[in-house]
Parts: sequence; structure tokens; C-alpha cells
Amino acid sequence: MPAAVIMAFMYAPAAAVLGETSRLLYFHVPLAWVSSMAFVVSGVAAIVFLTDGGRRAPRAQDTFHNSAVLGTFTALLATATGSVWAKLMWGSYWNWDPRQTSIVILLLIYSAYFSLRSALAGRPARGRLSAVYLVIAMTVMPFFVFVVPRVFGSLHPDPVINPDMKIHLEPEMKLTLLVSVVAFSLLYFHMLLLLNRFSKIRATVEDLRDE
Amino acid sequence: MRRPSAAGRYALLEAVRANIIKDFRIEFRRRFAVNVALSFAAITTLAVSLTAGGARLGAQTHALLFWIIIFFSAMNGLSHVFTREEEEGTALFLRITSPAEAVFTAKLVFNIAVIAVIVAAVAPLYVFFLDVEIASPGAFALVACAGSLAIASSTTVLGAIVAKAGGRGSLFTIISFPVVLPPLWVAVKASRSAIAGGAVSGDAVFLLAFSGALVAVSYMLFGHIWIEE
Amino acid sequence: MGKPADGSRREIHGMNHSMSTRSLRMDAFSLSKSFGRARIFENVSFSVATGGSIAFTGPNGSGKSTLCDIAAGIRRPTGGRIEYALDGESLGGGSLPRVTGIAGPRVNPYDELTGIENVRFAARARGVDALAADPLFEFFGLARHRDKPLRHYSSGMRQRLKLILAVLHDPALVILDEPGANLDAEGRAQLAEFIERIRARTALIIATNDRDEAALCGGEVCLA
Repeated sequence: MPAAVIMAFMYAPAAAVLGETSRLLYFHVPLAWVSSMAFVVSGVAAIVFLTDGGRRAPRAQDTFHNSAVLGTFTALLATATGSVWAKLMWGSYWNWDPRQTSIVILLLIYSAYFSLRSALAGRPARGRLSAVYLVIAMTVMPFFVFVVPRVFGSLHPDPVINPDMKIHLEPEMKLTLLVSVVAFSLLYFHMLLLLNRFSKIRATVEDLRDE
Repeated sequence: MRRPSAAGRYALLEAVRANIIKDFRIEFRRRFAVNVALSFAAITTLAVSLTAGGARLGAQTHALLFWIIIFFSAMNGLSHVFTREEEEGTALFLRITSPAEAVFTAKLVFNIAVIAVIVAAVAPLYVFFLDVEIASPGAFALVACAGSLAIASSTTVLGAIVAKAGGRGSLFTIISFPVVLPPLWVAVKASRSAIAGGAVSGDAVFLLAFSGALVAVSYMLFGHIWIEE
Repeated sequence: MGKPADGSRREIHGMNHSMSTRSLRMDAFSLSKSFGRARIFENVSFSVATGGSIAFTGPNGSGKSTLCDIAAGIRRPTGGRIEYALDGESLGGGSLPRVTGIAGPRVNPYDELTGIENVRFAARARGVDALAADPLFEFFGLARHRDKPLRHYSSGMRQRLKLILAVLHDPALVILDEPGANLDAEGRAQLAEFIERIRARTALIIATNDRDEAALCGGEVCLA
């Protein structure tokens, strides 16, 4: 898996066509994609955790939290890379373009989630309650997706349209992009498994310490 | 999950009724949630009108201010119905006496009533003090109702979560905001339409759909919040 | 509804219809409970059935109340399990609250409501007739305090109301956590008589520090 990551870095520069600035695309798009995926994984793991009660999937409790952690990081990075790219391509860091708005919402949800977790520190109900919150957030997401383009269409008539549609991607760039997305996804899963393993070890150590 | 028999469903309805009577009775005698929320709403509305100083504000601004006032008033009042149980020490008694579904339904009804009171107070105050000319008052009222229903529907279960987390007011606002944001956006847009004289039916449908979805999901998740560990 | 002319026992729950017989059995196997790192108790096993009674004893902080919660099905044990059977059929967790009554220091009714309002709420929420509580009010001497808000009850009166609330739905399993707390000598005598009257129809658990109360029970689980 790490090999795939390295490959993405090596290959990407080789296919630059539109200029150096466009290389951000290979990082920004996969980051945004992974952050969405992490959110969905979080939500699904939360549902599994709640309905299962620890029988078939004992690690679901860690999974939804770790995925949320990873999701936050990738969302932050996606925002950072996105706004840098926005500055380079369109002249300003922030446009309230629908996609930018969605990522901000995602970050809001995550920060609420972490606030909730820290308020619940030390309580046995923490896992359950934070899982419930994630499921509620996941329910709200489709409404967001529906609302954002409509609302921002009428509230802020923004002349700067997201030019992603308009960029013509060369085949090499498409391939690089695909590789990059796959590489980042693999990296995400790898990190998730690592974090889960870490959580499990930490829990075992605490149990041993009690003996 | 077995479907309740007709007798079982009747008993649940009776339990819901008992809970509603209990919650409204206590609130009537204590008047805590309503007082706090209404005070906040009145103060904020007056503050806004004073600082506006008679300036002519656009429909967009009015819609925005109106819903900001409603939202924060709700944040000051809607978690009370659950945190009160924990603070007074009656949560365990409630848990063993009443089925969870009845508790949730009654608390939801209570919160809808509280936010209805808030809106009923804020809307006329706002319109009066800020001298707003509403082109379609019926549509405005509809949006006010649908939007506040959406807020109450989504935040009731969050109030239950916050009550178990120690119930500090700011936490309730923090976790409610992302969830309430979609209906809030739509409500602002629709209210602006109503003030300016446009159509609101699509937005009203959205708000009702949102309310329905959140109530359904909350109802299913409530059991997980309510049980003891 | 008059008092009996002679000193004959009158069923507290008996209105005018005879009560159906029922039998509940509860078996607990190797229960243990920890909160995070703190181990409260472990390897606790006991059984109790209708007509029988068991006392949970131990110093303060030994986990008596927690064990009561677990027995009532409102708290999950860290280890071990409990099996309930009503009239021979095993009882699931969902139906347990309906046949269980609990009174204890952490189970607090609503201060803003009167005694009778609390009782009516509990009765309706449980799907039983609130009138069943009338003889209980009489028995505990709370009849003339029915319409006072709980805020104005003395601690002894409140304790007695809690007992009423615990049994008004005629539960098969009754769990009393420190029932004699806040009761004066007369109150404790009433409590002893109350226990005698419900004993035959219920499986009774009493958690207590008091040796006299523990002596009212047939068995003992000592959480030392």
C-alpha cells in the first residue's frame, strides 16, 4: 500500500500538462473523495455498532471514530489544497461555491462530533451517543446535498462557476488522477486498519493494567 | 421486533398522553423553558430593532435576522425538557416507569409547543418593530411553522444526547447547528420569498420532508440513547 | 372502600376481583460489574422466585444499588447473565419493566407534581388503573397528603410514596433499595407489614445495610 502512494507521487509529475499548478488536482480531488468516503464509512460503522451490540463486529466502535478522525484530516487537507488552487485558478481563496460549502459543513459536523466526544469523556455511554450523532448527521447529509446548489444558486448569484466541468483532461491526466484517487483510498484504508489495531492494543493494555 | 397488538398500541398512546400531561404540567408550574426562550427571543428582537434604527432592510436581511432569532431562542429552550430530568434526578424514575417511545413522543410534542410559542411571540414582535411589509403573510406564516417544526424535530433527540453529556447549553448549540443548517437555509430563502411575494410551496415541502425524516430516525435511535449502560 | 371490620388481612391490591396467580423466577449467574477500571463486584450468583426473597447486603459503596439496577434489567452487567421466567416462559428484556417495580434513593418522582398526580402518571404510563393505588394511600397514611406537591412532603412521606409507586402496577418482581431509609419507627413497622402482604405474590429483593431488614428475607447476597 505505501508503494502505491509513492508511485502516485512519482507518476504524477511526469504527466503535467497545464502547468505546475494543476498538479494540485491530483491531491485535492482524492482528498475530497476520501473525506466523503470516510464520512460514509463512519456512518455505516456507527449503525453497525448500534445494532450489533458487540457480538459480530467488536471493532465497529473504534472504526467509526477512527474513520471520523481520518475524515477530518482529509477534509482539512482538501479544504487547504482546494483554497490554494482556487486562489491560483480564480483569484480568491474562498468563493462559497457549492463544493467548498459542503466541505465546510462536513468539518462543522466533525467538530461537533469531537466536541460531543470530549464532553462525554470518561462516560461508558460515550461510544453509543457519539455513534447516534453520526447516524443523525448522515441522515442530514442527503438534505444538504439537495439544498446547497439550490440555495446558493439563488442567494449568491456567483459568476465564478466551478470550472471542473470545463477543464479538458488529457488521457494521461485522467489516468494519473485515477491512480491518485486509488492510492489515497488505499492509504485511507491502510491508516484505518492501523488506527483500529492501535485502539485495540490500547484497550488490551488497559485491561491488563487492571489485573 | 413484534408489532404491538391493538391493546398494546392503546397502552402506548395512554403512556404518551400521560407523559405529555406530566411535562406540560411541570412546565406550567415551573415555566422555566418557556421563560428562558421567550426572554431571549424578546430581548434579541428588541436589540435588533433598536440597532436597526428604523433603517429599511431588504427582504433577505429580514429573513436572515428572523431565523437567527428563532434558532438561538430554540437553542435556549429546547434542551430543557431532557436536561431537566437529569438535573432533578427524575430520569431514572421516568426510565423505569414509561416506555421509551412514549417518552420521546411526548418530549417531541413538548418541544414543538415551545418553539410554536417562540415563533408566535417573535413573528409579530419582529414584524411590528422592524416595520416589515410582507407581501404574502399566509406564506410567511406557513414557512415559519414548517421551519420551526423542522428545528424542533431534529433537535429533540439531540437534547436527549446532550442531557446525558452533562447538559451544558453551548454543547447543545454546537451539535445542533450542523443538523439544523439545511432547514435553516431553506427557511431563510423561503421567508425571503414570502416577504417579497414569491412561491414557497417547494421549500415548505422540503421542510416537512426534513421534519418527517428526522423524526423517524430520531424515534428509532432514541432507544440507544435512553438505556442505561 | 372501608377498612376490614376484623383484623383479617386484606390484599393491598385486591379490589373486588380476585387476582390471578403467577410465578416469576429469576436466576443470576456469575454477575460482575466494572465501571471503566473500577471493579465493583464479581462472581455474584443467586436465584429468587415468587414467594421468596433475597437481601443484598454490604457496606456503602459495595455495589448494592448497581446490583439492584442489574437485577431490574436497567443496567447491563459487565459479565454474567440473568434469566427471567414468568409462568414458565422465559421473559425478554423488553417485557421486564412491566413486571418489575423498584423503589430506591435514586428513583425520584416529580417534586412539582402532587402525590396523586405522580401516581396517576405512573399508572397511565404503565397501563394500569390509578384507582389501584387508593388502598395503598390508605395503608401508608398518605391519603390526606395526596394533593400536596411532593416538594412539601417530608422525607418519610416521600419514601412511602416511592413504595406506592413501586407496587401500584402489581409487579411480579419487587426491588427495594434501602426501603427503611427516612422512616421512623412507625414507618418501619408499616414497611414490615407491607412486605408481609406483598411477599406471597412477588419475588422480593431488598438491598440494605440494616440487619433487621435483611432478616426479613429468605436469602442473602453479601457484597463485601
